[in-house]
Amino acid sequence: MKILKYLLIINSCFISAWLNAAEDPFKSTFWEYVSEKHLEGKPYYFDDRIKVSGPDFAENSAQVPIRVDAIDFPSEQIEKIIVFVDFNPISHVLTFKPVQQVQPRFSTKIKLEKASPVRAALLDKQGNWHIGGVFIRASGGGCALPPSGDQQASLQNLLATKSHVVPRSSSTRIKLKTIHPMSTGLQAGTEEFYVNNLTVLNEKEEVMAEIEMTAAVAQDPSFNLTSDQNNQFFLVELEDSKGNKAKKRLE
Amino acid sequence: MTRFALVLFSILSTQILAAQEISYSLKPIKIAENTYVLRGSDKEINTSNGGHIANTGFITTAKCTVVFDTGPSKLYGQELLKVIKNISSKPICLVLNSHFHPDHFLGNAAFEKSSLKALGKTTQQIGRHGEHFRSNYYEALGIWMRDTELTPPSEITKKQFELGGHQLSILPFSGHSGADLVLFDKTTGVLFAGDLVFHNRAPATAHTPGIAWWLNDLEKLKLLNAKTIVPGHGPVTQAETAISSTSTYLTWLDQLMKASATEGLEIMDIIETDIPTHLNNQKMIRYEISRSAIHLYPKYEDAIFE
Repeated sequence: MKILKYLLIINSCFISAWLNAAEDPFKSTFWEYVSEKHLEGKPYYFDDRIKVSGPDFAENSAQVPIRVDAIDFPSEQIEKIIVFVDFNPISHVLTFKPVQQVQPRFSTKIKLEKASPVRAALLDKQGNWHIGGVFIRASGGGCALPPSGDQQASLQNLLATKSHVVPRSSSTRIKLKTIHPMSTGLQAGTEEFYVNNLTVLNEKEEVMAEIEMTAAVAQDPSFNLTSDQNNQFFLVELEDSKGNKAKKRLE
Repeated sequence: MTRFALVLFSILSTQILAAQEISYSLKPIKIAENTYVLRGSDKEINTSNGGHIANTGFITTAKCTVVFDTGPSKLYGQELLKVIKNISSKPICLVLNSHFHPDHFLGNAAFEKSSLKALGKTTQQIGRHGEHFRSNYYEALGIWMRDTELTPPSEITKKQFELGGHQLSILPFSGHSGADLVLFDKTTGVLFAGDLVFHNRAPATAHTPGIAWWLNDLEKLKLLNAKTIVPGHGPVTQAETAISSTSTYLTWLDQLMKASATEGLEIMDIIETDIPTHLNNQKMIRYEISRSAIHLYPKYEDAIFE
């Protein structure tokens, strides 16, 4: 009887996995865990239209560049895009919500604890996830060691923001970097302290994109975004986990 | 139980086998009178090459032998010692480390500590980063690294001297790693350039103080009028050819990064950049561009920011 019960449980697991019609292309041992944690129990598909790129090797695991590109996905169908890393102690990296006038495409730098799939999951308006990813090799220590760079300097210039805006014929490249230690709190004697909200607005102060982050984003977070308008300047609003706020003009 | 024993046996036996078999199989190449080079593999460090990616070399003078760089592990250093003993019965009086990167100095563990010399700043850099490099190499190379203790050099004071018929100069530069020692033998015209020079192998830029700095060093190297260059990586060749191989790549990379930063491009754009055909002969170029994009490009971006 007991055996039968186990069989039923095992069987139902198989069925639910099969219904998702999705086998993790990286065959990650953490897939079940991270998918349950981040995908809100909604159906998911591995989808080539969601492209994540990064270097083959992290090189500096405290500053790993990634690009998420969902430009091939119908933009009116996009609810949000989340980025997560299977083997990071803080697996959720960020949530990107394109609101208007912004392409579903961005670059940033993240921390990698060790070699891991780095995934982007796009939630469509029907409540289905579309997932892409890249595997990045790393020698480890990105999260467990102090992030490279001078954290003290980041504290002194907290939320100071540098930017570079390049208007193109029918779009505008926006690059921004804001100074913040982005402490994970995982090292002894440190506390978690990071930027949790970054909002990009247009000249009329209308929200274009909202980004929620965790301390898994690299120290001094940097973002590359593309506006599909030809604007001269933008605004950014920042808020960190201690309630410090800043509003800057990007130009 | 039997199965367990079998598994244990097979694990042990493969380890014993590995311990018996691994060897760098060093083959010295004579490049000038009394002057020999051991060519590293133009690949990433891996368990086939045991980390021997950098060139090492030595000069067997009539009085004693000078060694330039010691390779990635104690085993490498020991095998290098054997190679030297087969060629010369004279003692080893000076072992130089060109700079602080692990493929050039971890073999120190096999040499007499008092003979190990480097630039003052290199000794500090090894003190600061050596242990981290050593543990990375253990992780990547496993058994090749056994017994490799960190054996730091001390600062060299004597910079120009005659030794057993060879006029030697030790010159300090900084373009590749912040402290780069080169050894010039006026008698043979051979310049051991360390990683200031890469020949047909894309230069590694992770710790350069700046490409302009490095290019400036290369100009100074030209003035030495060396005949032959032993580059840190890539084949030995005429001095002019090797220097131009390095400067061609660095100039291209510098211009690419400057132009990309002005256009607001991102790190991934550098990583994915098209490689021009005149650089197709540079081995490991894709790998090194990716590393340079990560380490160096943010400095170009910072220069553009408001």
